[in-house]
Amino acid sequence: MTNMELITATTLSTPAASVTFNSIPQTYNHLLLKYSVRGTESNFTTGITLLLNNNSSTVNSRTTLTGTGTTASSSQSSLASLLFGGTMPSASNTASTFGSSEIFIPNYTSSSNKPFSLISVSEGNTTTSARTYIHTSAQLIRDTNPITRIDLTPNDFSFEVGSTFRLYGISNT
Amino acid sequence: MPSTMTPIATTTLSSAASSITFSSIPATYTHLRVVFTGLGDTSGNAGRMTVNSDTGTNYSRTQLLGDGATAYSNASTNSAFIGLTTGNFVTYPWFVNVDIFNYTGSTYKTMLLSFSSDRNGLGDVVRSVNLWRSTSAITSIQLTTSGGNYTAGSTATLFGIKAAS
Repeated sequence: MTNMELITATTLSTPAASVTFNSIPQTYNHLLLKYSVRGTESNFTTGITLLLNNNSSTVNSRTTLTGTGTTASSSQSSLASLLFGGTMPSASNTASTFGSSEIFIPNYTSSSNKPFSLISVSEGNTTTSARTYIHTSAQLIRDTNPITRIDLTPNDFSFEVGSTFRLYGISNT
Repeated sequence: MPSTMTPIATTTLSSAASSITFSSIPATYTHLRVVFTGLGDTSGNAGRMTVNSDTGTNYSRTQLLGDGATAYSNASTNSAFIGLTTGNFVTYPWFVNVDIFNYTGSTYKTMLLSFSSDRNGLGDVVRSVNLWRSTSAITSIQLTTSGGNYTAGSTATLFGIKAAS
């Protein structure tokens, strides 16, 4: 019995301003999205925006825990219209280094509001706090519709060539 | 496609209940994963987990927490249970993921737990490493509360993960 199945995979051969997973099958119980990414912005890091069901009008919120190698911090954002898709190293960061992120959305087809978790990390053999990080967050999307689409968009510029995205479906039975 | 993570059992509560139990866990996997989403019905209480019905002071943990304002870390020793949730587990749905490594091995059992709860203005992000000081194989898991119940609709699934096929 196969339980965790790859739904779709994308590896960028050219920079992309966004990546979309559309027509997500509704035959699983949970979704797991894993991505290894780097940005083209001339900066150390670039944030990523996550959009579910292409709906920016839902009211979302999140609690975040972050470590940079020198500082640990926590923050809360309520009544946000956009979800947080993590942070990635960008063009000014350690060369040949991609960040790793993972989003787990349990019960994505349910008719309830949907909590999910994100972990987003990057390590570049540096003690410079602006270059290395661990983000983990609890997020809540107050949308009772099943999730059928996921969009990831850098806050500035694009995902770099070689960035990979894999969406898995996980079944309870 | 070879099996990666196989569901062993799922329980979705049809009515409120104070516990969910996975028993007679087969010894044919390498690791276990518990995925638990739900709500409690009594504020101030919290979710808990034990294994093999062991309620002795054989559990400990080190955790990293963020509540939206403060990040902190602490440790707990000689506990009679593994804390699954914080006391804020009513009203907004949360979820817990527990990875139990080498659950059939003859060494103490290490577990990695993540608890995620956002409550629109408040929240908890908890990541902890837990230890059950027993050399016995894990054959059952109990998800309980410190008081009150898990609400109807709360769902827990136990997965088995094999090292290689």
